[in-house]
Amino acid sequence: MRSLQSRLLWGTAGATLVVFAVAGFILFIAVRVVLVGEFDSALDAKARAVASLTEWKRHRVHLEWDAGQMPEFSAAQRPEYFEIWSGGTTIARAGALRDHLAPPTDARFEPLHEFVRLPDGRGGRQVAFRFKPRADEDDVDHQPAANSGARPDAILVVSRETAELDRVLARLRWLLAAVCGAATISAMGVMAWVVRAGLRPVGGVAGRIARVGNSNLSDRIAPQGVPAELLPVVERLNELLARLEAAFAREKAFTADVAHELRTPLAGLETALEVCAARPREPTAYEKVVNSCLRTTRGMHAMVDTLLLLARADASQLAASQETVDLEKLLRECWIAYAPAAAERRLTVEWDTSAMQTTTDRDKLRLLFNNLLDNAVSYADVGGTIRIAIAELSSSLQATVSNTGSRVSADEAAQVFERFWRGDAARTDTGRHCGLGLSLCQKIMEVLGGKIAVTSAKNSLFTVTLMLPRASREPERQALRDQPLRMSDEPLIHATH
Amino acid sequence: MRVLLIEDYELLRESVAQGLREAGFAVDAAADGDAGLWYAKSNPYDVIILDLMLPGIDGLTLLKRLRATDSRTHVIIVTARDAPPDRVKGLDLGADDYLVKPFVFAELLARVRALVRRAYGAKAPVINVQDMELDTAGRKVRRAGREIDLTAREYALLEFLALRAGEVVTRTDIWEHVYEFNSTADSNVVDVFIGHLRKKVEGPGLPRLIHTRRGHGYVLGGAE
Repeated sequence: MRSLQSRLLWGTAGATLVVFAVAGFILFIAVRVVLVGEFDSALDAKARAVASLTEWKRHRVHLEWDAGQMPEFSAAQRPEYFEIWSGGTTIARAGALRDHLAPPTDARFEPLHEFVRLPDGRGGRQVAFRFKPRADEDDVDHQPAANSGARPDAILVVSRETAELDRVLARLRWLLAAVCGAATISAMGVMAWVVRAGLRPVGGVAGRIARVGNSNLSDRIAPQGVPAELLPVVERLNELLARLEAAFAREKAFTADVAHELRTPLAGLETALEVCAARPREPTAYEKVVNSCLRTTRGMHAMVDTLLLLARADASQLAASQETVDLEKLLRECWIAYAPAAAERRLTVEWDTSAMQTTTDRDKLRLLFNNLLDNAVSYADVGGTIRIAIAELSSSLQATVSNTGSRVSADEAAQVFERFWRGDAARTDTGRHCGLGLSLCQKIMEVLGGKIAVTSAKNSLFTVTLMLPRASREPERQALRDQPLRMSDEPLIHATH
Repeated sequence: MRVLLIEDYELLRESVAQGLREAGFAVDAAADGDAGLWYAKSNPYDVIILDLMLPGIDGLTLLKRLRATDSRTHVIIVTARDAPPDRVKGLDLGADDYLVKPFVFAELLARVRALVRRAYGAKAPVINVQDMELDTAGRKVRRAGREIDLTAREYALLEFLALRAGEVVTRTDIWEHVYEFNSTADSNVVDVFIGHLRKKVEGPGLPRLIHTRRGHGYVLGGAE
C-alpha cells in the first residue's frame, strides 16, 4: 500500500497537469480563433477590392485589372491567388496561377472561409463568395432598370498562404506546453511541501498512539492539536481504551476477590493447625479444631467448584443436556436437604406448586434450586416465611422462591448477581455463602436459555424469579429471550413485620 | 501485653486469639469494624492486628479514624490484599507493619513481639534487670543463672514490669495491659498475681526485685 503522502502528491500533480492542459488548450483555441479572424478580415478586404474591380460591361463580366495595383497577386515569392468565374467560365485569375482553381459548386453571397491546399502545394486559406458585378456607368447599353436581371452573378475565390499564421500558432503551442509543464512541476514542488506539512499531525497522532498502552491502559491520546478529520478516530480509540481499562480493572478486582476469598480461609486453616500443633492438647480440643478445619475446607471446596463452573460458563464450555424434568418434583427433592435447617429456624414454608414438565438440564437446574433454597433458608428472619411457587405462563414457566426478612435493599437488588457481592451482614457468615451463588444461578439460566431476576425490599421480601422456556425448541427460547421479564409489584407473601 | 484482634473470619480470629493467649498476650477480638473501633478507643492496646476487608467500617477507614486520636498504639495489618499499592496505602495511613494472608503464625507472633518491644523503646529481645534475665523471644526467665518456671499470665506480668523497669507501674496500667476486656478479674487480682510472682522470682536468699510503692504501684528493680 502506498503512503498517503505519495498518493496525495501524485493525485494533485495529475490534477494540476490536467487543469493546466485544459486551460492551455482553451487559450490556444481562443488565440487561434482571433488570429484566423484577423487573417480572414484581411482576406475579405482583398476579396472586396477584387470584387469592386469586377464590372458588367457590354453584356459581359469584366475585371478591370492592373497588375501593378496589387503586386501580391503576381508570381512573386509568396503569391496570393484569385480566380473569378461567371456563367461557368473563368473571367480572370491571378497571374501567379498556372492551373485553374476548382470553382466552388455552391458559393453563396455570404463569404465562406476555409482552409485549403494552395496550387503550389502549401497550406492556405481561401474566401469564396458570389456577387453581382458592378454595372459600368459609362456603358452605352446601360439601362439600370431593364437589364439588371440579365446581369449574371460572378463567383470569386481569393486564397493566401497561412505559413506565417501556422508558425505563430506553432510557437504559441510550444509556449503553452512549456508553461503548462513548468507550472505543473513547480506546483508539485509546492504540493510536496504542503502535503508533508499537512500530514505532519497524522505522524504526530501515530506517535502518540504508539506510546499508549504498552504498560499503562489509563493513558489517553490527548485530543489537543489533533486535526478535525482524525478527531473521531482518536475519540473512538480513547473509548476503546476506556472499555479495555474497565475490563482489565474488573478482571483485576475479580482476581483480587478470588485471592481474598481463598487466602482468608487458607490463613484460618494454617493458623488453626499451627496453633493447635504447638503443644499437646486434650482430645476434645483436637476434635474442635479438626471439625472447624473440615467445615472450612468444605466451604473452600464448594467455592473452588463454583469458580470452576463460572469460569467454564464464561468460556462457553457449559452445555445443557435435554431431559424431561418435573419442576415441582425437582424442587421438592431439593427441599429435603434444607428442611431440617428451616425447621431449626422455625420458618414457615408455603408451596404454591403443581406438576409441571419441561425439557431442560436436570443437574444444572438442581444446582440452581439448591442455591436458591439455601439462600432462602439462611437469610430468612428466624420465624419468617419462605414461599416456593411455580406458574405456567403463555410461553414459559415461572418459578419463584421468596423469603421474608430480606437484608438487601431495593437499590442493591441489581448487585446481587455480582461475583463476591454480599449483603453486609452476610459477610460475617463463615463457610458456605461466599457471594458466588446468585452469579452462578444467573450463568446457569443463561445456559438453560432462561432468565432470572431479583426484587427485594429491606426487612421485607427477597424474591428470585426464574423464567424457563417451556420446551427446549429454538422458537420458544427465542420468544423468551425477546420478552421482557415482568415482575409483579404485588408481594407474593406479606412480610410479617 | 494486650492485643486487639479485628478479623471477621471466625476460624482465623479464634485461632489467632488462642495462639496469642497461649503466648502470654491478653487478647480482645472483634468481628467487625464498628466493634473493633469501639474496642480500640476504649482501651490502651499495645498492638492492634487489623484485617482490611471488614463488615461495617473497613480496615483502612478504621485505621484513619484511630490515628486521628491515637498515635501511640502499634498497628499491624493482616490482609489477603497483597498488591504493593495496598501495602503502601496501609503503611502511609499509619500502620506499623503489614502481613499478607496466609501467613505462618510464628511470624505473626514474632512481628507482634517486635512491635511490643518498640512500644516500650526496647530493641534487644533480652531484658536484664539486675541479676534477672528475661528473654522475650523464648519467654524464658533466669535469675542468678537459674531458670524460673512461670505461667503465661505470670510471665506476661513480669514482662510488662521488665519493659518498664525502674518506673512506677500502677495497678491500672497492669490491669489495662495484662488482662483481657472480658476477664472476670478485678484489680485485687493484680496484688494476688504480684504475690505469686514474688514467690517465684524472689526465692530464698535472693534480694527483693519487685518493690511496692504504697498508693502508687510497683517498681521492678532499682534501689529499695
